[in-house]
Amino acid sequence: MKRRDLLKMGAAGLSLASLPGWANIANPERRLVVFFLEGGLDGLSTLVPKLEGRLESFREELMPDNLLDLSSHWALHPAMRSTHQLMLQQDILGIHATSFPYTKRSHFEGQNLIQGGGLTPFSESTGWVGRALDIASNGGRAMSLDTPLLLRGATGVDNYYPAHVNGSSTPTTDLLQRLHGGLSPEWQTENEKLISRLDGRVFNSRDRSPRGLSAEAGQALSRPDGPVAAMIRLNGYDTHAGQGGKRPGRLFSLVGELDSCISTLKKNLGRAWDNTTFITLTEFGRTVKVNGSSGTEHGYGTAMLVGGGAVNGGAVLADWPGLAKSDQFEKRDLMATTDSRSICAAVLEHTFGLEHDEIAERVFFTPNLPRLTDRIFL
Amino acid sequence: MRALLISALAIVLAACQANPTTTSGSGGSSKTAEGAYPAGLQRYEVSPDLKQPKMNMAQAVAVKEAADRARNLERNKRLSGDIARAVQHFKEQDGVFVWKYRFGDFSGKALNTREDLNIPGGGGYKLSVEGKFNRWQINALLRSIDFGVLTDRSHMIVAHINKGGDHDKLQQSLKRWDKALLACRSTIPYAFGDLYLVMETTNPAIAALQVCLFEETKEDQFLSAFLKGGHVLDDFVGNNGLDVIIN
Repeated sequence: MKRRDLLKMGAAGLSLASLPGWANIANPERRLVVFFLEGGLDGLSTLVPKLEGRLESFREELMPDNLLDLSSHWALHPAMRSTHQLMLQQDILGIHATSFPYTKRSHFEGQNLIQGGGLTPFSESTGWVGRALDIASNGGRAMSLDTPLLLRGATGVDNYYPAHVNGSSTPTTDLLQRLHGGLSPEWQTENEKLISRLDGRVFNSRDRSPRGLSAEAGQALSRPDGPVAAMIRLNGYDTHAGQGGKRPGRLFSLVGELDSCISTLKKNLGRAWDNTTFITLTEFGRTVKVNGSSGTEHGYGTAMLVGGGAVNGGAVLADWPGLAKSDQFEKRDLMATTDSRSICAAVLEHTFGLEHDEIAERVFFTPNLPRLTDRIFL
Repeated sequence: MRALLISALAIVLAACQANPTTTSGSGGSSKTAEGAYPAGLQRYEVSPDLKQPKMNMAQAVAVKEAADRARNLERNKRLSGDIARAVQHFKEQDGVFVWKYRFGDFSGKALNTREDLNIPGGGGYKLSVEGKFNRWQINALLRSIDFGVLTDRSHMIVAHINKGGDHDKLQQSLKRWDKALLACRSTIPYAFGDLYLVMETTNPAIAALQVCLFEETKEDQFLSAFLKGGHVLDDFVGNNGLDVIIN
């Protein structure tokens, strides 16, 4: 089996970290959700830089029609209707031309680095969220069999996987159909009506799809004594072939799924949305130019979304590097001009009430990491 | 001469850099000329004609509810027949119909922890109980459900009553209930349970339907008591068992 096949097989997952010392945090009601987009998100087709006149010339077939306009400079992929609405409502901020300081284009190294938050891949046995939780609290105990690196701390945090989430991602009306034989004739008529109404439309929020897990995370995080951080894994972003654009393709369903996760999370958080921040992370972006398989190769700079009630949204932040060949990273990728760790640091500062300097030094080991908190939060 | 040329070139390049063809901000210019971008991290605002006011969740809910209420009140002007019927047993205030009665007494216990319901477009709890409702010994799965269709919001309690054993009278009551459902042409999905009472609704047609069911069953002592005691049972479900345990 190839590594690429292994990546495609990865299941969606949800991990929640609670914090025994949560009362010690400056703002104990605040929550953090990380959507981990495995495979490398094509930021150029997700948060489209309309200000970039050259984009179509590099990848015309990857450029979707019916973009969702944000301004004369930016637009969102047409599958991201909920995200678009939340951007217009100023609850989501797009940040473009970002990356962790990693340029080697390996999934395994990149995913490890963006979870570990260290200076090189595989250099850290704890994750940047876990280390921040360590600083914010007195630590606790690990309870999960599978704590993702992102949430691992030196002393550990309470961590659990919602084991009762046992539904299917493709619910059916099987139960009603099985009950059918035991009903009296007039009830069978009604049961048939019900089955025909529900068939194909049944939505069971307690399923293991990313959307179901987003619902579960939202409900858990919304409880006053619930976990403080969650990581939701979405996979399949490694769009080497059939990415889609002018014609339907994989990216449409991928970013559509992310869009659905975001709206589901918000709905299930309820009023806790006001105190929750979510971010999207991915190991790298993708090449500027379309490849021979109507897809894109591993790249460097990409786009991030930061959302939540306290986010100063309704805008795109970017130090746009341009797409002239000489402006591209190694003449093939979008250059990253904003260190993703600065964005993560801002989220940690806001959520856990930590000092930026402490985060820069003790979480990301980069004392001179730029501070962006005031650019991202109200 | 060469130094002069280099100096001149440097001045031209510096001038180009200092005068980018666009500025940050809300839709300041159309497409930027290739190769010239504002220096540093810029905030590109959503276009003013698209941007909506930022609201916290409480504000957003209040705005939506106010809009829904206004729309429903306008709609209700065409439903005077339903309203006339509904107010026989509902109190109406500002477009919300609330069941008038809060009779009866339930003493009993929960058989399990209150459990969240996952209903598309709604919410609620379910709880198995056993105990005495007025003079009837009942064993029921109670559901307290909020649901909404378009701009309407309703709250109901549903009870799946244990039909087993020697509850002949209860069986008779349930048969009567089934007849009432047919007579009133109830559109509430039967899959929710055996008995239901919509105690609060913004839709006069739903309130009128509930009145019909009450009228059709009022000769039955159990059903009459159940419907008049719906608030009491709902309080028991709503206040009992606050947490869902995740293991």
